[in-house]
Amino acid sequence: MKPESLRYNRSHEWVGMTEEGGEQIAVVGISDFAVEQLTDLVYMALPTVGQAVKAGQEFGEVESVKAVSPLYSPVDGEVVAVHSKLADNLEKLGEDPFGDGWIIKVKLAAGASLDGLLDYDAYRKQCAEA
Amino acid sequence: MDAFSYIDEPRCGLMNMAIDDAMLEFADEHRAVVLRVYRWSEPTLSLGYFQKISDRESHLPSSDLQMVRRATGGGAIVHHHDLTYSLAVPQSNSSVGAAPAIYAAVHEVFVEWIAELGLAARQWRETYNLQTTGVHPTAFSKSEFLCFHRRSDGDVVVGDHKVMGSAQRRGKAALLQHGSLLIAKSDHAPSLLGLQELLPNGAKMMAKHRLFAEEVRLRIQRGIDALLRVRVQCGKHLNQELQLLASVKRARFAAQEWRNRV
Repeated sequence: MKPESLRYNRSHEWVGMTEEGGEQIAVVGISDFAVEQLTDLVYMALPTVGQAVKAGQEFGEVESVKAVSPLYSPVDGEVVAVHSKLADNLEKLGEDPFGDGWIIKVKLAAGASLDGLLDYDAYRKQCAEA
Repeated sequence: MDAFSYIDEPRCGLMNMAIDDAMLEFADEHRAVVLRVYRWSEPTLSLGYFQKISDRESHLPSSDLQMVRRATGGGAIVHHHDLTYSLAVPQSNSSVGAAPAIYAAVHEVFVEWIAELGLAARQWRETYNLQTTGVHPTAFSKSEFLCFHRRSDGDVVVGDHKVMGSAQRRGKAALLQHGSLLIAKSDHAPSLLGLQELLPNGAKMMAKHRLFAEEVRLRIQRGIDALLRVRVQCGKHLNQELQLLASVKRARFAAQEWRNRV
């Protein structure tokens, strides 16, 4: 996915919409900036398919050598796919954070939207000021 | 920003974990720094957040100990003759990953202190280790069961002995740093030496637990003062509030779902 077309949490998770099987599905990952800041990832805990997620709430965790950091969902909905191979191939997060490094896919809850999230320019500005 | 520190009484593992978690919530909600220095009421093994419970089988000396799972990562710690600290610091909600400055500030005061006690300590660095000592970093695996057998940048070492390690956990807008200083060797982790064994006059240290804890509190406090430019005040009055918060959180750490999560 093109980073410019995505929306972002302040906590660095991205979300992009795609169509799968005639349904609008949200794909969620973490940004290149976050991967760089996390450094030396060693473990990742992922949700299960069918789990409900809520915008701003934790849906997983990642451990780098010195810190455990939560992952926050950018949207409300239900997890319909989990990139389960990612936990054993964490280098994918660094190699292709906006593509093959996707983490979960979410079917949006009724009324859920991406409106409150940062656009690319606002997100990059936040990163530059960090 | 307010900042508080106190020495807590020895508690069981579950309560220690619950109070640490309560501190993280408190720091986030009140935008205040909290430092707690504590011991454990009985020898306890704390497992890192991502460690498999079945890995306990690989370490027989600690197999009979009570076990809790920490919210922070890293390897297992035998809390017996150690001194533990937890430090909660408010952060921006866009902060990500480890906060190495906090880690380094705390560890540096211990390097200085151990040096004052008569031992050359340093913060371990992969590059330094390879270039200066010729020991390849992979000689210390990051997958060892015990935290004190692992090495990562910033660990406080005396020669080849790691005497202090810390790990962090991020909350929404705060960070918890949890660390342990090895005071003396434990029968439950006989391969690890503490300051008592390493220092020339170390045997006297165990008789001065209370003073020792106070020294640790003051040293960390000094590091925090310098890094965060805050004036740390006595935080004994927080004890009751944190215990109340922790009494609700305790059940989470006791649940099989938490203990056996991996």
